[in-house]
Amino acid sequence: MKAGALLLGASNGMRLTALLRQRDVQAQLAFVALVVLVVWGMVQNAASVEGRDAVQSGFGFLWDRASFQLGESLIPYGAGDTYGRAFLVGILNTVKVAICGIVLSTVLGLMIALGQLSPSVLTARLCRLYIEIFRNMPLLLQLIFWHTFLIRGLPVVRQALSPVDGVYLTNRGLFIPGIVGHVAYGWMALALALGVAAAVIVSRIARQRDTQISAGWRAALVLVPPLAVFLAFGAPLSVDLPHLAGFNFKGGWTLSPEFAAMVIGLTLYTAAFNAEIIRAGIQGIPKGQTEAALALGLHRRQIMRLVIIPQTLRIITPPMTNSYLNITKESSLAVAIGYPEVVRVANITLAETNRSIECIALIMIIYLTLSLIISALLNLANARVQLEQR
Amino acid sequence: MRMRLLTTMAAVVGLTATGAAAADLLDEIKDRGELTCGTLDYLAGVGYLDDNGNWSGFDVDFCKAASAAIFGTPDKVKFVAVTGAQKFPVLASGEIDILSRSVTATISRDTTLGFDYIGPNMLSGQGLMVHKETGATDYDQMDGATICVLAGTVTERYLADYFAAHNMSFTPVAAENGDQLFAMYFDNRCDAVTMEPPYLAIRRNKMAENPEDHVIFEDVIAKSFEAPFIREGSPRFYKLLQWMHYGMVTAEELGVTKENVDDMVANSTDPRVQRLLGVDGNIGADMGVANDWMVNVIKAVGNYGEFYDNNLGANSPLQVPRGLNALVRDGGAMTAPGWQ
Repeated sequence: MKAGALLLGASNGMRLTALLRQRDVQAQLAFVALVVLVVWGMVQNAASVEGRDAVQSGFGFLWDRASFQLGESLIPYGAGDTYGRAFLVGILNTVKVAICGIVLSTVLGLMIALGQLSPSVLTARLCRLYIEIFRNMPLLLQLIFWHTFLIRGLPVVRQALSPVDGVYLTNRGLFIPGIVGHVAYGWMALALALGVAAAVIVSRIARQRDTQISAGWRAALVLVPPLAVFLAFGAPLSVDLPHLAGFNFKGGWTLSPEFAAMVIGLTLYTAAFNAEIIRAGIQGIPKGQTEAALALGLHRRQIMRLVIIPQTLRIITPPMTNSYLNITKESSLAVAIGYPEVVRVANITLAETNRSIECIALIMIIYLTLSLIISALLNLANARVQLEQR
Repeated sequence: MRMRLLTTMAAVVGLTATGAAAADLLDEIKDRGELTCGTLDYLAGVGYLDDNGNWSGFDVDFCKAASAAIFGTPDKVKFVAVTGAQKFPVLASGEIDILSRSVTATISRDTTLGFDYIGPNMLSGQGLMVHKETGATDYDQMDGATICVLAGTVTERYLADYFAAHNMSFTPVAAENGDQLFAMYFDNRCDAVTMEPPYLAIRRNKMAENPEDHVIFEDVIAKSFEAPFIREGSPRFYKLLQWMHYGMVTAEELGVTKENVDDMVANSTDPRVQRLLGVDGNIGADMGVANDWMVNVIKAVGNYGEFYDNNLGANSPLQVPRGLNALVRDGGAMTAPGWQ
């Protein structure tokens, strides 16, 4: 009697041996074994190379102190903080660029798509020209172009363009007045979230009772709680004006040319693709829908908003997901213009610690995680816009 | 059928796992008949690939000299251009034998990273070049400045260390390569740019509209040993390159040059010269190369003084002074242990 049969009982054992006799099952088992062997071989190889040079390995270095600065950061960071924190700065900078790129390229893409479908021949042709120019040039080239353009084209600090006091445009960035941080703002954000939640719940209850809450009341529900918190803290509002101190402008908020070049480049490039996706989505709606809406007496604008766009979302959400994933991944090209995103942090960490395998694995894990989050969110959105099958 | 599958698997594993038994790299290079050398391809005088596909410069010549020492001719080298951030992975992976790219020697690179450095074949430091209009003349006036740095180099670290030690702040702007770095500086994206002073001088002369609009600080914030690197674990290869460097310095001390080396071999009665050039003794043969290996090295690139002057110094367009790299007898710091 075979071991499998002993463990699983006679009938199960028979089924297992029958299964193992099938050719496709054998092939799959062989394939799995091969993959395991290859991975094992790579790990052995990596271990032997590192061992030979007496190099330490592992992710412990993330808690070591990093001795480098990064150009811009959303959280406080300086030389002397850990490599882990530097990676966090990089991730936040990547997310910042990705979010700006996603929002702006969607808005611009929608405008170009509608422009292409416009009855005006001039508008349609210009939009077509835009798409053909921007999607047919390598993104890296466009990024370097915008970066060089901003640095060469804008004035130096001492000759800053200043349309109004407190706003300065230079080749070191755009300096605008900033609001000084205060503990009240954190609580205001919380109050805002609670207000939004309350508005959603109240509308839902109203819908169940077949009534509606007016827009004014909904706005009040959302806006009153943060306002109340703001006043409760004694309306703390102080503006920090940028001023020339020593070499550079200090104070206020800064938009660096590297970040601006990234956002401009990614937006213009991806908008060309998004425009085509949206155009395809709009043209994918049968003409009968428009005609039926016209017969109902709706305006062109109403037809777009109430009939066409909701159905278009159904078609475009999956390809738009791809487009958003591409923006996130393509933000890694920022390393070419020195924007301190995650690849730049990984590169400098690699140069400092020589943990090449760890650093590259970290980059892969980070991009994979970001991509999976975006996919998950958009899959949720996709499920919501799909036609409900009854 | 099953046997074939097993042998395929074994072959795959064999391919991915390289042999752990380490032979000395020197033997491996001799068997291969060629040396691979990672260097720069964009900085004339240091490492440069011209329009005709010829490599030249100080770091390139070091590898040519190594080829002459091992094979007797300087042309058995395959050059590979490597970027600042990739230089160590490329060396560690075995893609190149020598990393000759003005890499700064530090204790962590020498010990924990598992590399050995040769020489140092250039003594330098890290300096700063600023726009004259800023009015800054020394490091303590640089608080709050924006400084262009070359991504992934030790200059990033030294700069951060220096500013932290002096309680000052700065904003770095990182560039991927030297051309981009200096283009950003000259376009006024940064108040200052940091690098070894000779390279700052080279770029100022080559790229600035008015070289006198830019000030290079007299002091350096960090001393540095610039050196070629190899992987740890090949003592004979390491010693050959180390003594090749010492040999070039000794040749300068003894007055042996590219011009007179043949004459010296034939006629010199100085026992020190005879030992250096392999006329007397078996030093070269014992090291695993030709006994007249230093003759081949000197014929290829000259003694240390010629090696420096032809690429960077008096006989080059760059005119970088010898400074610390002059021989000790000339007031510099370059010297070598005895050739006995």
